[in-house]
Amino acid sequence: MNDTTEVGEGMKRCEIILAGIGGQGLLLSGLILGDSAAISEKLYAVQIESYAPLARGGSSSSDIVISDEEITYPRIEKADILIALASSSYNENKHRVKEDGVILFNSNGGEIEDDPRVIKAPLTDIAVESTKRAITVSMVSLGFIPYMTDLVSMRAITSSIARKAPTGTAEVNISAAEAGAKFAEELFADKK
Amino acid sequence: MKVKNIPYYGASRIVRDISCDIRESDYIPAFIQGNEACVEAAIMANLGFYGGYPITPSSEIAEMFSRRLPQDGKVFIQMEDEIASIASCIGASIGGLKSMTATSGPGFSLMQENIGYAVMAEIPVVIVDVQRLGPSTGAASSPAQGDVMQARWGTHGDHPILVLAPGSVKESFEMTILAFNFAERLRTPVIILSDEVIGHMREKILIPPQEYVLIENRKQPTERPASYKPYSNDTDVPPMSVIGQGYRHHITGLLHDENGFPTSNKQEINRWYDRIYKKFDDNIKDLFMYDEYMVDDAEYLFISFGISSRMAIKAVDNARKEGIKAGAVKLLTLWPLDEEYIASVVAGKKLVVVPEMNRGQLVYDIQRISEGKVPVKHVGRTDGVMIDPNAILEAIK
Repeated sequence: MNDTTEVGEGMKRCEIILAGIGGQGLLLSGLILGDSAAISEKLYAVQIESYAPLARGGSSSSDIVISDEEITYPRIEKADILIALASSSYNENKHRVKEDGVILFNSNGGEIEDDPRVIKAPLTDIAVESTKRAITVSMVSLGFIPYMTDLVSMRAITSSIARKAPTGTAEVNISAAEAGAKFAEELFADKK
Repeated sequence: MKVKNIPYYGASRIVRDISCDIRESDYIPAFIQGNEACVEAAIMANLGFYGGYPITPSSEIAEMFSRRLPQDGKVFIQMEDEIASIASCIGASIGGLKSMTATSGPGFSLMQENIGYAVMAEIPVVIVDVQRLGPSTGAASSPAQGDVMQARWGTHGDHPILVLAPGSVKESFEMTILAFNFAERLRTPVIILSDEVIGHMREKILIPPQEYVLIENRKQPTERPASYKPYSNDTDVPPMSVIGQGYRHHITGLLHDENGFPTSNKQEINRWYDRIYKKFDDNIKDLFMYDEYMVDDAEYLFISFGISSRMAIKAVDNARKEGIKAGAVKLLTLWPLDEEYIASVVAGKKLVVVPEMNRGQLVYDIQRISEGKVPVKHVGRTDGVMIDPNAILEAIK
């Protein structure tokens, strides 16, 4: 459940990478995750994006640092959590994750090597089943976040989606995140 | 959970002394990019005109202004290029509006001649350069800090200039408010030197209510129009009339007399030069802003700015864990440098390191001010990746 790093005098810092292919909605989900922590949960957050100069295709990722104190160092040193929506995203980022970190891999996104840190879930299938749109896959992945860190709750995520999603898309994005959370609840119950 | 650091905001550089208690609940939390913070601050500073040509990584600034300014009855114009952009801002400022443009390296190069015009004619205008990597087109979405010397010396001829360098989203907000205040107070162009990381990074900031923030406006003439001298040497910063309101205000890029008409009189030229430098020299303690981190007992000192200053602070933390007494100075003002301060803070250090995302720019002035009494080393990077704190630490081992 809790992969958050305890730093110094009880300071909590959690580093999360959201990685996928351009067009999977990662920049919006990164913004929403950061906003959930910074505004809804009243913590601190820093988000840095990187993307290829293409609207579709190429690697795309969002690095998010969440802390209960103001963040001086904005970079990810070793991530606590990686969400990889495609096998290429896993391969590009697996070295940036802690040995005891958690990697959520989209099993609809190709094949990857055996890795004890990996938890697999068919995120694209969940997106299509819940909203009929594959593009909500990154919102589905946000539904897993509350099961991987105790810093961000599902309520915080849905309230940030309601605030930040493009006009008219809040409902569908919330449905996707909730479908993700429902799947995560069963998945993580099995793990325990 | 209680949001920390409100006292810092309360005592921040932009919040004025107010008699009432500063209430945490009055601040609006926002999770925004450095570029967005710049826009929010400019609107709070009562920006009246934005003229620009969008370019990565500054485009969000133009995009947001194009929506926000017309809503407030203010003017946004997308000009045909960056030469026209800065020219339009100078014109708007002469017309009495606070004006701003934003660009990146390629556009900043095109603006240089007219930045000199604003220096010469003493026109308040704020120019944001969100630095990207390389000369020419370079790499549009990769960060760098390679415009440090261009910001200082990009336009030709001797001139003072004010360059502010935010290192966070919060500082992007603060430095933008201050850029307008200094521009208005001193009748001068002010450059905000941001970079791709600061511009695009999202962080939490607490936006203060308007009434907490001190907003300055240029002095306007009160004398009869017949006795108004737009470049009077009786004061360091002569009042600036609004064109079309009855005052004669001749404006030229030529060296000029107190009335603004061209002159080749050596005394008049010297008086003008002395005055525009005096504006900066006399206000250096206000203009030069910096933060210190664990400097008091430091044997090693990192002097940095912008995004690299955060890498330097991390390097201090790492050094201290190993028992090495390191400290950092973050420069929020790059030009003018308070040379007295720099000389005193480097004095007695075993080594001074200047981390900056370039091949060596600020470091040369730190070396010059250190006069060879303290060794000064550069740690740089020019591949679009932020400097690794360990590389800074390695430099002192």
